[in-house]
Amino acid sequence: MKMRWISVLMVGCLTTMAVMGCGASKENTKTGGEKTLTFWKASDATDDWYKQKIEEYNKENSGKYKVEMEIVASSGTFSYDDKVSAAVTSNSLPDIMMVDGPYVSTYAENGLIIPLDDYISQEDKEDLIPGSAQQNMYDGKLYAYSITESSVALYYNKDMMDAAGVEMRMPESPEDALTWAEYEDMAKALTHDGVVGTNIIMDKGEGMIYGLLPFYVSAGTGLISEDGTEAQGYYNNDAAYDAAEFLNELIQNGYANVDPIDNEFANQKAATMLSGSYQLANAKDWEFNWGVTYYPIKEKGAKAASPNGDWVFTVTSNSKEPEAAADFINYVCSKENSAENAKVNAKIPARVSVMEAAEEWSSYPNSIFKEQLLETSYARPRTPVYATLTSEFSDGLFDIFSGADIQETLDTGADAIDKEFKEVYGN
Amino acid sequence: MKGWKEKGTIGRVKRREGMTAYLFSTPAIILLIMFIAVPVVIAICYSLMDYNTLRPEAQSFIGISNYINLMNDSEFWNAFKNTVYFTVIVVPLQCGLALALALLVSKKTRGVSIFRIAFFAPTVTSMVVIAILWQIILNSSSAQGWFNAILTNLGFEAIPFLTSKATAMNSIIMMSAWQGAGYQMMIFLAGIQGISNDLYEAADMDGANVIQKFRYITMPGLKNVSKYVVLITSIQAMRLFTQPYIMTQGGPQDSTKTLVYYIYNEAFRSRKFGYACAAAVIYFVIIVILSLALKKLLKSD
Repeated sequence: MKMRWISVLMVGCLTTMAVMGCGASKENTKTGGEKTLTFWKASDATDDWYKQKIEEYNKENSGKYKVEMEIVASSGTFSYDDKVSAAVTSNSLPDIMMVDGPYVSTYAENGLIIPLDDYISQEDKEDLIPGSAQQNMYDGKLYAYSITESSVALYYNKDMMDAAGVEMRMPESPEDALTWAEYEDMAKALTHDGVVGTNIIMDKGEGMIYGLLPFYVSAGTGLISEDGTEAQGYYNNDAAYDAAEFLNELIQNGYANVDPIDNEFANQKAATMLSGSYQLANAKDWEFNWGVTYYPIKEKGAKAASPNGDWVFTVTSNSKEPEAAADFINYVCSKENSAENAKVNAKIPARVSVMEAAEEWSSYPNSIFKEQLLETSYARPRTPVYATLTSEFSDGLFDIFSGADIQETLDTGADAIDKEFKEVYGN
Repeated sequence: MKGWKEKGTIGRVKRREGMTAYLFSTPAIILLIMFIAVPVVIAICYSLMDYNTLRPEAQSFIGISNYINLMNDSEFWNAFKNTVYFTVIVVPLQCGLALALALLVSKKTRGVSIFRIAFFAPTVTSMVVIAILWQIILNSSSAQGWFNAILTNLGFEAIPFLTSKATAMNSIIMMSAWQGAGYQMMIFLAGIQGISNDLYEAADMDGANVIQKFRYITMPGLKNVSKYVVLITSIQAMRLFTQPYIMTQGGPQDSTKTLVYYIYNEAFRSRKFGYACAAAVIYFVIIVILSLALKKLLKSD
C-alpha cells in the first residue's frame, strides 16, 4: 500500500519535471542559432534611446546575436543593488549589466563582473575622463566602461531672490564657491510660507551619499580610509560631525524639507536646489529665471569638492558570450552614440574627445558642471562594503534629521561598516 | 468462507478508491511540497551556513552560530518588538473599523453599494500605489502634506508623521487599518447577512432597542466569523513590509523596521543570506505559535 502510494507520487513528480524540462529546453532552440544577450539597466530618461539603439544593433547582428533589455524600475532606494544580490543567489544575472559607479569595486571584488581589458581598445580606454577611468578600475584592471558622467551644482531661482532682496556673491571658480554660511544665510532669507530656501534631498537611497558627500569632503573626510578598509576615524570624525550638523541645521530650521515633493524646485516650492546636470534638460520648462553656481564649500580656503560617477556598463561572469557582450558595450559607447546619449538627458559625455567636441559644455550654464567634473570631482568611497556604507549613510542622516544624536549615529554607522568588512573580507 | 470473500471484494474496492484519491491529490501534493515544504527545508539548511550572497561558492557550515548571533542582535529584537506593537494595535483597530463599516453598509438603503465599493476599493488597490499616495498625504511640511495643510489651517502645529520616531509607526498603523478594513468588512457583511431576519423581527416585537439587538443578536451571530477575521488579520499584520519599505525605509531610527523588513535587509542589503534564513526560520516558528495560540484562545471563549 505504502509502496504504491510512493510510486504514484514518483510518477507524478516525473511528469511534472518532464513538462517543466520541455519548457526550459524549448527556449534555447527557439531562436535557431541566434544567441540572446540579456541586458539590465535602471530606468531613466534614456530608456527610449536605448530601445532604439538596441533595435538597430539587433538588425545589424540579426542571426547572430539578439540583445534583450530589461528596464529595472529604480524607486530611488537601493532596489537595483538588491535585485543584483537576489539574482546572484538564483544564478540569474544578465550578460550585460549597467551598475552605479561605486558598486564596480564590490562586484569586481566578488567576481560578479569580469575584466574588460581584452575587449576594449587602448584608444577607447585612454579616452575616458580620469575620474571615470578611476572608478571603472579595480585591482589594476578595467571592469566597466562609461557612457556619461555627472556632476551636481547649486541651482537658484533668480525671481525669488529678487523678490526677497537677496544678493548672491557670484563665485568665479569652484574654489571660490559659496561658503556654507553664505549658503545658509541665503536659504534662510529665501524661506517663507510654503517655500523652502533650498532642496538637498534627492531620494532616500543612493542619492543621499551621491549628492551630499562633498559637504563631508569639504569639511575634511572621505568617510573611509584611502584603501577602503576602515571607517572608524573617517566616517565619525569631527569633520563628519561638522557636515552632518550643518545639514541637520538646514532641516531643523526649516530651510529645507526632509521629505520634499518631486520637482520642488521646478514647482517653485524651493528657491534653490543641489542637483545634477540632468536638470538642464528640464530647465526649458521652468517658468522663471534661474541660474546655477558651484557646489558650496565649508569656508574660505576649504577643499572644494563635487559629486561624480554615473551608471556604467559591465559584463557579468554569468555570461557565456563575453565577447559579444563587450561588442555591444563598444557599440553603445562609441563616440557617436555616447554623444547622442549625453544629449538626451543633459549629462556630460564620459569620453574626453566627445566632451571636447560638444560645444554646449564649454559655455554657461553647462560649463559649471564640466569645470567641477574636471577640477573638483570626488568619487564616492571605493570599498567592497559599499552597499553597507551607503545605506548606513542614508539611514543615519535621516535618523539625525529625526532627532537622533549626531555623534552616536555616526559611531554606530562606522561600527557597522567595519564589522561588515571584518566579517566578509577580513582575511 | 463466503463472508470472507465478500469482505475481500469490499476491501479491494475500498483500496481502489483510496488509490484514486491519492492519484487525484498528487498534483496538489507535488505543488505543496515544491512551494512550501522544499523552501522551508532549504531555508533551514541555509540558516546553518555562513553564506554571503555575492559569494555563493564560499558557503561554509557553521552550525547554530547564526541563531546564537540573532539572539544577541538588538536590531532583530527591535524588529520583533515593532512587529508585535504593530499587530497588537492594528488588529483591534482594523477589525473594529471593519465591523463598524459592515454595520453601516448592511442596511438595504439606496446608494449603499456605492459606499460598499468605496470602502472596499483600497483593499484591491496595489499597496505600493497606496503607500506612495499616503506619503504625499502625510508629508511633514504643511505646504506639501494634505493632513498638515489642514492642521495648520485650523491653527495646530504640523506633525512630522513619517519623519519622527514617535509618530512613524502610528501613521503606518492608521493607513494600514484604513487600507485593510475593506476586506474584513466584506467578510463581516456576509456574516451579518447570514443572520436570520426573524430574530430581529422577534426582537422588535419584544421592544428591543438598536444596542440590545446588536448585543444579543448580531454579536453572537458573528462569533465564528469574528474568530476567523481576527486570525487572518493577525497573520497579515505580522507580515508588514511594503508600507515601511516604501514610506520610511524602516526609519526613522529603526522605529518602523519590521521582522520581514529586517529579513529582507539582512539577505539583500547586508548580503548575509544564511543569517537572514535563520531569522526567517524563527519568524516562521513565531507565526506558527501565534496561529496555534490564537486558535486555542478564540476556541475557549
